[in-house]
Amino acid sequence: MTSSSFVVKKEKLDPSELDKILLDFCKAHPEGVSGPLLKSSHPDLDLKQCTIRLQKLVSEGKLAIFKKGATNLFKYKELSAAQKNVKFENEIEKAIYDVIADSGKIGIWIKDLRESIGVAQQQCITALKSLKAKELVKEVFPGTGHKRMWMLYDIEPDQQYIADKGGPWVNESTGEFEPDVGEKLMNLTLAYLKKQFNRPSDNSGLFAERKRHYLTPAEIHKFLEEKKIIDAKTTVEHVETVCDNLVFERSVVKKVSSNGPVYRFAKAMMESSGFSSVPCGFCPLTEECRVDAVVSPQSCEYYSKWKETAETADMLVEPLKSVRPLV
Amino acid sequence: MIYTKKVLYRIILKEVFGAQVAEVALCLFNNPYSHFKNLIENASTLKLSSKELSQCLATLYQHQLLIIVKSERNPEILEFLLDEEKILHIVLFPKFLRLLDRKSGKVHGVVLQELFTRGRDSMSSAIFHAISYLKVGESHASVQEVLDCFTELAVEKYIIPVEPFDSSEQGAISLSLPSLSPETQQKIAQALEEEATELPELPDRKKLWTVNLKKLGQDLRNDLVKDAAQSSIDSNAAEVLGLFLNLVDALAEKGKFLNLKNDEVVSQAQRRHCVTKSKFVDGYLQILAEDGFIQKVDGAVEGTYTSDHTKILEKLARAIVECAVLTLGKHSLRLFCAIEEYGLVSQETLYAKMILSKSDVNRRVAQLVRKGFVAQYDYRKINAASVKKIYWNPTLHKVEFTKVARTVLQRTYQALLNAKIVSQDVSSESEEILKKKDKLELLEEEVKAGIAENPENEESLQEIVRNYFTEEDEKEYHGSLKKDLLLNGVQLKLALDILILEDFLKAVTVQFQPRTRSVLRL
Repeated sequence: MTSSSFVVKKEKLDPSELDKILLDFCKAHPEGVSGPLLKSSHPDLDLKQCTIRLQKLVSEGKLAIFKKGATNLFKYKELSAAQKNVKFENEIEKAIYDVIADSGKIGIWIKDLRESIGVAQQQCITALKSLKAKELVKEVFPGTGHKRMWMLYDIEPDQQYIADKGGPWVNESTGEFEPDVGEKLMNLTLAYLKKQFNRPSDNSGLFAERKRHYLTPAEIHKFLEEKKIIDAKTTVEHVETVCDNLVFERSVVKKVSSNGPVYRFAKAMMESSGFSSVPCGFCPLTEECRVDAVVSPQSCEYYSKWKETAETADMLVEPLKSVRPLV
Repeated sequence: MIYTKKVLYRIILKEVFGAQVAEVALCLFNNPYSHFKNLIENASTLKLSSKELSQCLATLYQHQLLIIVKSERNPEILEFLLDEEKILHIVLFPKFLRLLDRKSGKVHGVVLQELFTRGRDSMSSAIFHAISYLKVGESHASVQEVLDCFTELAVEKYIIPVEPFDSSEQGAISLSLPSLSPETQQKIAQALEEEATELPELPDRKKLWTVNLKKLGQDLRNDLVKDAAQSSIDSNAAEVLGLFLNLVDALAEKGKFLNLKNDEVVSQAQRRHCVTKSKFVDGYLQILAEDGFIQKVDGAVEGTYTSDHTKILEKLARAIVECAVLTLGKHSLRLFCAIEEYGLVSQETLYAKMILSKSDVNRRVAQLVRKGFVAQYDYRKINAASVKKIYWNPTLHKVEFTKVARTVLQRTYQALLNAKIVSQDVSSESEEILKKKDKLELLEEEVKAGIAENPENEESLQEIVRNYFTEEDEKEYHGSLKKDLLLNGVQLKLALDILILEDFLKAVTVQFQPRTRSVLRL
């Protein structure tokens, strides 16, 4: 008997042991593992058994398979604590989850998600709802005019691909408007501009003093940042939007200088007009109001209440006496 | 608006002149440029004889409410036109008086009031009635004092002679100062001592004077602009602006160029011994120019400035309109001003620019459109290659300020009418309590006399007074006074708004062209 006539019997390894070897090998090669590479590194392993185990690991979600040219490569997939314990309701859920996981920090739009898997809208939505409830995925709103993206729960969206979400008054995750945040920012900005306006005079001349009352959006942004009212995501452009909104409320005046827009606190030119001093200014039925009609000033409840409660207007000289016509 | 104006004018004219004059005025309002024959035909429906009609027309003319022009078709026929602005001046007259009181003094106001009450009157008669009025109010003034006030008013052109200047001097400033001979002054004093109700015929009876409502209106507008400057800047700025506007008006009367150099305003400030130090005038002029109250003509540091009447009116009109929009809420004002700023704008742009939720923007824009503050346009973008294919259809919004001003004007007229009607109701409700109050004064006098005769009956007599006018009556009386003042104040404010908006619309609306025919002065 010669050595060349011996064929070494390759003992089949225990599946769990083989899984461990394969997973460790894939971890060590993050760029991906191909069949020839595995064969050259582990010649003692049964290739057929390896192939079966690799497919099993892919189906369990521990490995991902992708193509590079004509070669199939296997890649190790890191699972989070939730993912390790996850139980998918059905294959659709699992497939959706995998596609979302592949999208990484950018996320994926629901339409693209549907098309990549090939499922109906309703099935997709049901699966997404289920995954969201299990805290495996989340919906991210990149900004006004952009699509809502789905990504894994634990991943932070990539700021490079997330457009301006509309400002600190828009909730990052839901995309909903938060009125309190917007109002607070506006009130604080106005208070700062008013403080600047009321600063004591430094006798530098009227017009020079007025120039001091103007502030740039960058200066206002710096003040808000120092007071920790805004976070790093709030930009100077957002502060400019706040100031523009105050200009539209006529609380602030804007001037465009050579260095960009500047803002100043402004006192009201007219506190109230005649129309806003009477109940007719606030009445929703003013267009239907006629003398001796159903809606009339004689029967007006707003007027009756207003007569009893309003403060006296500016004192006048006595009204015009009746005139005797000269014939 | 026509219906509202008709009802409003009827109420105002009926209150002041009586029902007949009011109906004739409305007839002219409905049919402008009517001649006498048209009016006679209408008089049958008004149930007026031709004599009564003539008297009514004379009353309207007496009080500057009637404009008489020569007919285009036949220059021998005269046509009549109602001067609507003067009706508004009737409501605004307390404001004019207050303006004059602050500027000149109480006696000036009384002289103006008496002249306005009579429409046109001779100088001696006006002085006589002014002194009689002051006597009733327990103030005293001599004939000379009142004559001096009259002269000052004539110099300032608050009072003008009714006879026209020579045609060659049209637009010139020449003015014949009023004067009274010592004999006439003596006769007036004598009539006052005798407590006569009317003067005998005096030599100056044919020379009539009347109130220059145009000048008063101009002063009132300037006052409003000054108040606006005071609110938005400070009182010194208001003073400088007042000086500037007075100078510009004076130049305009002379027909001179309206640009003013800084040092001209400074010298005026020095001459008037203003509180404002003249070295600050330049600073204030620059600030006023920056805020749009005046316009800088050249780029020099100590430059030349001018005042654009239309721009000032626009500024005031804009403030009034924004106050009206503010009744819908602060956020609505924000949207209104944003839409005006951006011009033709879609709701998508508003979502991006406004710190408001989408639903809030949608709701408020819809409300602004419904109320007529914002106009809505459907803009269809058509593919040039295929005309039938419309692939973009956003709704765009725009603020057309002139239309909005007209809408607010209409609502203000309605509000003024409502205030007038409510005021009439309050007056009729408080008639009883006012009569009771008058009777109380008589009763108190009788009680005083009674106490003087029989001091021991003081308690019982006082008891009678207390029982007659109880605490509740006192409360009701003060309540009705307060309501009256409140409603009068509000009517003045509304009339001021109407004055500004009407002037603004006249200044900007190209379609409005008054018929340029020679106005006949009789």
